[in-house]
Amino acid sequence: MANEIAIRIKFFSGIDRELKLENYNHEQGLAMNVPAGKRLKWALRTAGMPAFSNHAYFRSGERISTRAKLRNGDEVTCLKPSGGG
Amino acid sequence: MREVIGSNNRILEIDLSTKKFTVSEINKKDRNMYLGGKGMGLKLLYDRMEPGVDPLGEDNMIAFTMGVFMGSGAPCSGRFEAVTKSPLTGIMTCSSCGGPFGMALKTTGWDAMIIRGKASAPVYLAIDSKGVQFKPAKGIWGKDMNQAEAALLKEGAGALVIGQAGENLVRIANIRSGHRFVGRGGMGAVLGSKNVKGIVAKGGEIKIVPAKKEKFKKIVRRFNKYINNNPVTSGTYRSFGTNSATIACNTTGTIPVRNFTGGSHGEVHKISGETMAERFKTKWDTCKPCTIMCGHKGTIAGEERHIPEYETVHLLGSNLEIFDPVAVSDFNELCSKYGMDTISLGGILGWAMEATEKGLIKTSLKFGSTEGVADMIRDIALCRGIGKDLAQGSRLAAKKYGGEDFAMHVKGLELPGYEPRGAVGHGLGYATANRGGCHLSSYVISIEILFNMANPFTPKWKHYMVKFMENLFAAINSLHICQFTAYAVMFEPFLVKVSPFPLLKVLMGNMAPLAMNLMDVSLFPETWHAILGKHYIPYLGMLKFIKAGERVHVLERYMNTREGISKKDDTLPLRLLTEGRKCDAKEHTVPLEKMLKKYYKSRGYDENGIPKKRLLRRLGIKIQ
Ligand code: SF4
Repeated sequence: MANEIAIRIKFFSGIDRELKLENYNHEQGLAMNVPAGKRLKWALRTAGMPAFSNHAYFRSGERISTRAKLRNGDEVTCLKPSGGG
Repeated sequence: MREVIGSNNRILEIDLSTKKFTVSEINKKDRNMYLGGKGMGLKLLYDRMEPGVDPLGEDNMIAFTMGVFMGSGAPCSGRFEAVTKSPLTGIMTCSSCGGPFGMALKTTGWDAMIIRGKASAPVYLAIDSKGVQFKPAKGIWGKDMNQAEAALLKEGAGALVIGQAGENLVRIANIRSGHRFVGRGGMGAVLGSKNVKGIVAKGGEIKIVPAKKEKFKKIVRRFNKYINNNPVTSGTYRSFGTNSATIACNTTGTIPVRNFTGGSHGEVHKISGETMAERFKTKWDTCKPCTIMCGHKGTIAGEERHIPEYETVHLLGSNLEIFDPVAVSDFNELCSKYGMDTISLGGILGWAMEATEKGLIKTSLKFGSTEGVADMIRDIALCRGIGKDLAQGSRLAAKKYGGEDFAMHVKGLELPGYEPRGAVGHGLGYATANRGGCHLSSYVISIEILFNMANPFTPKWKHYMVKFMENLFAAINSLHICQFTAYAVMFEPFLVKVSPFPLLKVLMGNMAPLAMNLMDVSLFPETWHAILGKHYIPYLGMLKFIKAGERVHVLERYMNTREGISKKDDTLPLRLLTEGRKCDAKEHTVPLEKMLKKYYKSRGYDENGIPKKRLLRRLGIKIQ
């Protein structure tokens, strides 16, 4: 549909398991078609994420908030905060 | 068993040349000013060792120091510190380790042990509460770390051992206790140069009890609550270990790729913490005691192995463009057998691959290929062929063969697994860290990337963040408690919790001193006070605690300046200052000069990076 955009969300830190996504693969992520103009928040809810305020979201290497408007072809990485060391 | 409040305060001083030992005491003033662990180790050596000693000579000393927290039951407190002059860098090096040796030594009744001199033939040291026995190491000299440690553990509760790399004076050799290492700066070679294969402590001779038992219990409950509430300390560390940071760092271009030319790589998910947890069915394998539990083991290649840490994964993996987790684990196993620091080794191999590509040396090493890597690791540990030159570290190898521009070290210590062009404050931290290229000295990448609290590309306020974190971590490593507890403690207090995140971020970007001081770390000194009560020192408030950290950091800097360190050494490899990363859409470099000037000023150093007399006097450091 012309007013839909294609995005991809890659879940890490075990979020994919919590969402019980079938045949999920970290390389491919979750491909979604969403109505144009929607925010990340909307896509996350649609993917079945119950709570997301503590997580970190990146688009093209930049951290974004869940209020960010999605663009066609976006690849968003979704992580829990981590420590390294 | 005798009960001791907080600390026994006894120092065991061992002279290998004369095979004698003496017992001394940690004095009240030093305990008050330098706390224990890292601070105490530095102070003990400052009082005893002249500048200019040969790190591999008889006059170098190595101190092992416990903290007041150890044995008290405080969370994540099973850690001890080793301090010496590094054969890799020629300056002071300190390393924190979570292996069982620390607890064994402390419960044998020693808060610190200093070793000097050189044994006339290989020995191991057996420690009990009365002192030390010098035992011939004939049966274990030449053996790997697994064999040597198993032999020593028949005689005590905790051991330290070196592998063949330490015996061969490889400048990146480490010391092992359990699955934990006194890792950086070549301390294994220092023990090797003294003909010491290992040290075993009997343990279980005294029991540490806190002075204020009820208060201490309450504090421990609060500490554990903070740890269990924090998404990092209760979540990703527990599930995926330190390697949980891989995807975040790859996404932001802050992993080392191809000898620090890349920044990110499409295949990195193959070596991420998530992949390893699933593929190797990981379980916890931690320092003891620990509530966070970042250490993991799993089944790899049909055997139970410790899962490689973040640093190992990136230096022996992405930095060499190797994305096979089994190969990375194989390399890690070789290092824990021969006894070498995986970070420095990865930096050296990265340099060797690039030097081979550029025709400066002849090896079979190639980026992206595992071929020849395991053999080269053995050659370095056993000092065979070109391995003998690589065993000197990337700085000396590059001096001999060329390629100094792409030898990725600071002050001779190879860089860890974070690419600083994507986190410039972290880059400043590499340049100013006292032991050389070290991520743990200030770890500002946690603020810039992992917790997203500051713009990673701007130099604004980074001097303050580096200074604040250096002081805080120096204090924490002197208590001594695991540095990772800082994440839980810093982010739990009320003010941080109720301040909306965007507000904190704005504050951090524009008024870093205010934002950082909202992060109340008073739980650390409160724990200290509950353990010691008035038994030993007056009340340690938060300001005194941070000041103690500042004193420890500045003392180490001052000791290094006596070895010739100054501004010329507080720099980064040329690549990071002049070239962008391959993943950069817009070229980023580290604007070091700008940040360094402000850092010196806020520290109280002169423009050449030397601590001013006024600063030393304010901190009570005796000028020598
Ligand atoms: S969090 Fe990790 S490094 Fe710290 S004490 Fe626990 S296992 Fe050791």
